[in-house]
Amino acid sequence: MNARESFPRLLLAEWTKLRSVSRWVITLIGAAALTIGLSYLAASGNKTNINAHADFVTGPHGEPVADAFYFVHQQVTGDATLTVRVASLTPVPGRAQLNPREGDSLVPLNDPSPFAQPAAGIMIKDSTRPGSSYASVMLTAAQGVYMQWDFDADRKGSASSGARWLRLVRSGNAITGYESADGAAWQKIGTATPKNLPSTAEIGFYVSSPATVYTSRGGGSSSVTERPTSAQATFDNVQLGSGGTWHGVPVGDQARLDEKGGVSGGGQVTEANGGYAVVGTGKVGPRPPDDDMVEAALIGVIAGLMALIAIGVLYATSEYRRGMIRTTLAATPRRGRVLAAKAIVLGTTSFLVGLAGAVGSFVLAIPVLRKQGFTPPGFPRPSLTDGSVLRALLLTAAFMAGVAVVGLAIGVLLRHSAAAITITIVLVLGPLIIGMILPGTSPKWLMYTTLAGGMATQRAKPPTITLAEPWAMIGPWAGIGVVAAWAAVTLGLAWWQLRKRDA
Amino acid sequence: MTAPRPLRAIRAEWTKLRTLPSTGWLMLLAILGTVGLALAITGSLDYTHCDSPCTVDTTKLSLAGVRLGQVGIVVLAVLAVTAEYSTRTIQPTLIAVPHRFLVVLGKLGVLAMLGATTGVLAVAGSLAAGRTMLPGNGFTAAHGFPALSLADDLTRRAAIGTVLYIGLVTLLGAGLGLLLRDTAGAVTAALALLYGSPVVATFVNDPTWQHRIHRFSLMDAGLTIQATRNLAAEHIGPWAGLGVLSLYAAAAVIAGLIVFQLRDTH
Repeated sequence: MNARESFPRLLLAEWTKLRSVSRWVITLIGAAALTIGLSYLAASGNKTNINAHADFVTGPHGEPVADAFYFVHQQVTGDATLTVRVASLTPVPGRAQLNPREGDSLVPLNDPSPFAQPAAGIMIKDSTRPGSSYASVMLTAAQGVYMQWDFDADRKGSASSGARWLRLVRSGNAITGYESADGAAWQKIGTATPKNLPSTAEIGFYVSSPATVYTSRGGGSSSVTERPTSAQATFDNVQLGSGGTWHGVPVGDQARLDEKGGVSGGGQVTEANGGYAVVGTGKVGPRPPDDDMVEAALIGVIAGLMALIAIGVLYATSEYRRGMIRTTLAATPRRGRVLAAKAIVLGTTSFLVGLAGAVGSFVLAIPVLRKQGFTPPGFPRPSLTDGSVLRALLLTAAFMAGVAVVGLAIGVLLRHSAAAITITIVLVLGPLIIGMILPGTSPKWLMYTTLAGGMATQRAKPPTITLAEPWAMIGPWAGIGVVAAWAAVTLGLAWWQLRKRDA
Repeated sequence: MTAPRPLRAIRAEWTKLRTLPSTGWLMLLAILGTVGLALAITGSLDYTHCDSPCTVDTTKLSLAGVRLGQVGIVVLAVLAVTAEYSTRTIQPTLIAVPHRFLVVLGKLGVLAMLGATTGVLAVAGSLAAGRTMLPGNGFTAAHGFPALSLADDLTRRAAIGTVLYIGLVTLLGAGLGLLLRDTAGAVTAALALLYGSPVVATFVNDPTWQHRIHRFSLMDAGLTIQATRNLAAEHIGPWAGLGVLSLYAAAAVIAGLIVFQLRDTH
């Protein structure tokens, strides 16, 4: 192989072609500028008042949390040990089920988090004020035994679902949770140090039962409906070193739960046969807002993408229009290598342009969003060094590069600028428009099969079906996977056609 | 040789467009795209899945296919203008008809006719699709959904408005083509203008801004005329919406015309 045919030389040749067309260089710079400009301008169109919301509760670390349950408690000072046996935990049939007519357009949200389970357990808590520090051991309805503390930390215990003995031991600031099948042989679950646990704290047993969340989306908007549920548990063999009296109290804002299938008064406790039957409702756990601040800062990507698609297609078709492809292929007769060099040069350049656009958007749009109410505690300040932010920015740049390469491949396949640009743009935008109109989770398959799925790369938060934007339904890695698959398949077809066809 | 000059210019442009194979294909694509999506949407609607009272706007949904089908006619309009530049036939064209205004007038006239023809066929096909599919899915007169008919004032307005919409986006494509003289640039700009704003509107969560974007985006404002129910929920009045689109189209055409008068042909 002589030097002229070497691959680095070929890369250099293709890079020279890309950078020496001044119109393309301007468009590439324009792509980054469009991305940043639109992101900056559109950021002022997003607004939130979540921090001013009436039932907004913050946990010990300042994060938004849900803290509602029925607590049968007494005060305890210093070290203490509470042991109970949870004899049963059953849901209370209520009006939690929606009537079928309404239910058809509503999709129940299945939250796999252990914090989203109905639970019966024991807890030591700073006070009965919502959002105060706590540690608990509980039997959940479907996920076995857990120890949890301060709304975000958990340790999994056994997967047991029947009656279970639970024990909390306080020693100084450390709380240790145990479980047992028979009250004799105890297994340790974990040890926690809640953030603010004064020496005099509230200890007791509790029942919680998170509301079922239904989402309804389509027609360009989305809404979330909550139906409170309640659960009943029986506790017996309640043993606390000091024998005070137990008081039942609903923690959290129970007033709004009363009407719709919740429990009047937020729950109740009745003493029978030396045990206690407790009915409770509510959720104890994290409650982050659905809106994604990072995604909101990257709106302009859609504009930059259009410009990159045009460049990608022209990078292929202009060779045909000017007949230059014959010169190119005469210089490098191995056609697959030419296509590979083009894809690498275009992909790298688009990635860098996309990254500049994404980082610029983030830096400029975040301060605007902070002025629009995206502030802690609801929205902690995102930083360029956060893992999720870095992932969103890098994958967004990769998404833009991938779409540009698909444009290149479709350009080689069709050898017609207008057709290739139209098809690539429609592949990105068509499913987005249709996906916004389609109701429920039906747009999910569109996101898994078309380039529109790549929009999921812009999200820093986990996928959700509660938002109007259809790409929020799939994760960022799935999104970039769809784009990579498109790039691979279209490049493969282009390579096959390039070898087969006359130039 | 007896026809007046404007008519001759129109005839010349008609001959040029008629003899291009892509013209027929793109018109067919526009019509099939519109009617195909109309069939898919009306076929998947189900009265039993509708909230009660059911307020689905069957006319609007039957005509929603233009959102996809318009791509064909917009690309046709762009190509009709820019192809003359990429193949250099613009020079003989201007030698034959030195009056540049007449050339543009001829082109726009022919494109408007093609657009309107495409629009009429696409709308007729969409309404026929709605009439065929909807009663089978429970949208019957007994449930308060009489068969789609042009005798209904609002449906007639929606149908006429959709034809006008297609004509206007055709002119918009031609104007962008004149302005940019470059197929790739004009196609990208036209599609970004049409589809960009609805996507940005979902990103934005402030209702005031959503309202503004829907009011002033080409596609959303222009297609407001398709609404026949719950008109108060629309962001702009039906004819005002078409007015917004006409302003965009007029701006593109006038800017294109000025540039075309001033610039050299290469």
